[in-house]
Amino acid sequence: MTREVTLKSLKEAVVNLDLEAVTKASREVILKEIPPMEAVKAIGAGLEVVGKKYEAKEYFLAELMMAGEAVKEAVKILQPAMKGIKVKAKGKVVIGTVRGDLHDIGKEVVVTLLSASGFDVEDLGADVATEAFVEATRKEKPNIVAMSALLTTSMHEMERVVKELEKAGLRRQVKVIIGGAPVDARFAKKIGADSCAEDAIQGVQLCNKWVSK
Amino acid sequence: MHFERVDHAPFCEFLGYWEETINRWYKEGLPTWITLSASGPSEFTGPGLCGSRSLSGVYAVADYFGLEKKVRLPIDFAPIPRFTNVVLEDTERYRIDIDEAGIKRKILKMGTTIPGYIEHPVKNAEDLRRIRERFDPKDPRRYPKNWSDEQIEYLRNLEVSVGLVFPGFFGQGRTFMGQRDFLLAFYKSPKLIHEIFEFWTNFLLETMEEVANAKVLDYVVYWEDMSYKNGPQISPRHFSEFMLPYYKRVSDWLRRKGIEIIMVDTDGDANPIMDQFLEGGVNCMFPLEVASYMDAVGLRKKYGKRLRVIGNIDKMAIAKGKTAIDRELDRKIPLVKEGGFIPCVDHNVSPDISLKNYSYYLQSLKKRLSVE
Repeated sequence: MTREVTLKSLKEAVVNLDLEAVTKASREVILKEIPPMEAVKAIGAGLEVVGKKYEAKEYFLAELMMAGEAVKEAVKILQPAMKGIKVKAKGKVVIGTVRGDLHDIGKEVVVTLLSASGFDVEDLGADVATEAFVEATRKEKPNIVAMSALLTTSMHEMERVVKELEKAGLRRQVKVIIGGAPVDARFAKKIGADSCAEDAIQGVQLCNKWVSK
Repeated sequence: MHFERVDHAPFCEFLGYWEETINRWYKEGLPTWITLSASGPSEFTGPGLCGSRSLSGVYAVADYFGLEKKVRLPIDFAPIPRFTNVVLEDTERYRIDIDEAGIKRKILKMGTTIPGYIEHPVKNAEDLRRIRERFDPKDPRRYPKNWSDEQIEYLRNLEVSVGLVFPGFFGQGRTFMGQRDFLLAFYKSPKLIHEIFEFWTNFLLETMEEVANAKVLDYVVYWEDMSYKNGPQISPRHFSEFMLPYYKRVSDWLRRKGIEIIMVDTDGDANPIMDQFLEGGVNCMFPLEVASYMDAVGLRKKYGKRLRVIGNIDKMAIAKGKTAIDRELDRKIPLVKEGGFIPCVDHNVSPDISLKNYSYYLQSLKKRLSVE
């Protein structure tokens, strides 16, 4: 197989959510000494197709999670070859589920997709205190702060984070994106966030748009 | 619900109220003797479904608002014996424990939030084999203590609807495996998914045998909760491949037993899998959350009388106040005339709804339904 065929197989394996094929193609990348960053690009292209299929309601949450598994599988194989290669991340995202909320499945999907798209992601986990968001923003200097909430009772924590970022003089340095079942664009506007993602795919698209400007 | 002439459509809440809502209403004038934990008017009222705290005590609140009653049989579909509740860590902010379903979870102590699930009891076929030992359908503890010919007769003569809620295939699969592992298993361990569904079908049918033969049920409800704001968690293709055969088996069996209304309770946007539900013998859906693009009027247009609908009154409209409430009812209530529609709040009544707005909603609904 030529290098192009291998990379195409890797992309298709991601699109088809075929873990065995992902493993096989990733191993071929190593065997053929294809630059791992080309493989990463192929995975990214595959994820783009997955995103389109999700938007077209051909793929659903289970498929997004499987795509995440496919990426993890490929990275596991490619990682040793990537050691020593300095890769400039597209941007940095600090992400977490807000205080009082322990739900992180949606956030996990976003983290996987952002990482696979070339973002450096600092995942603060679930039930994250406002102060932790502020501290991580100060320390990590991200381009984007992303917050998730599933509960109507916890979504108001997002407003607190935005306010505290403002108080700390950090708000202008970052874009703030929110997501989760109870939030919408109107709520984002009300609390002073920059945008609300309807789903993980849209969230990644928005982050890409912001860092490419 | 049979598209027959009635004096009025039921005036009820099909789900219930969040604890936070009731706490808010106490401050707004709700008498403190109204509690969610109060028992209902009949020994048979109760959740009939483990872990659904919002259902318990709904009757006490319903009584206060003059809502019509319904009876749900508390037949136990949970593990017997239960897993021992063990506290593994207890701090000021949270507690980590193993609950009665064998799930390791983290519970925050502030407010009444939904737990974060850490680990579930089924990871493979061996775990499934082990947990099956707790699901003996013939264990007498699955039925109420006072289940007797006398009670059956009482239920048959009740003038309120009698229903039974049981965990559906998705609902139980997720309880066994946890959302993440369960969803991935459709790809990674399809055989295990079929084993779970096959086991669950047999368990449901054997457990329900006695109550179905008693001819007391007006309806049954599969609790699935398999959709969210952006659609179902699995694809229609996976539904057809994995769930449909089992749905057909259970629904056919229920129909043979004379149970005509077969309902699914799923939050979120279930539109993409509606055809599959209907093919699986389901003929009623609720709660039809408006925020998730569910629309009773649109569903009736698309599916006609093949589908009954319950819920679909937008809780967000109720929170907004009079104008929004009237606009919502103006649009939805005409459907009541066609039959097969019970209008009620499209999930638990949420804490952003004031007592004043909820009372206005009920008053306006009651008037439109011509309830005496």
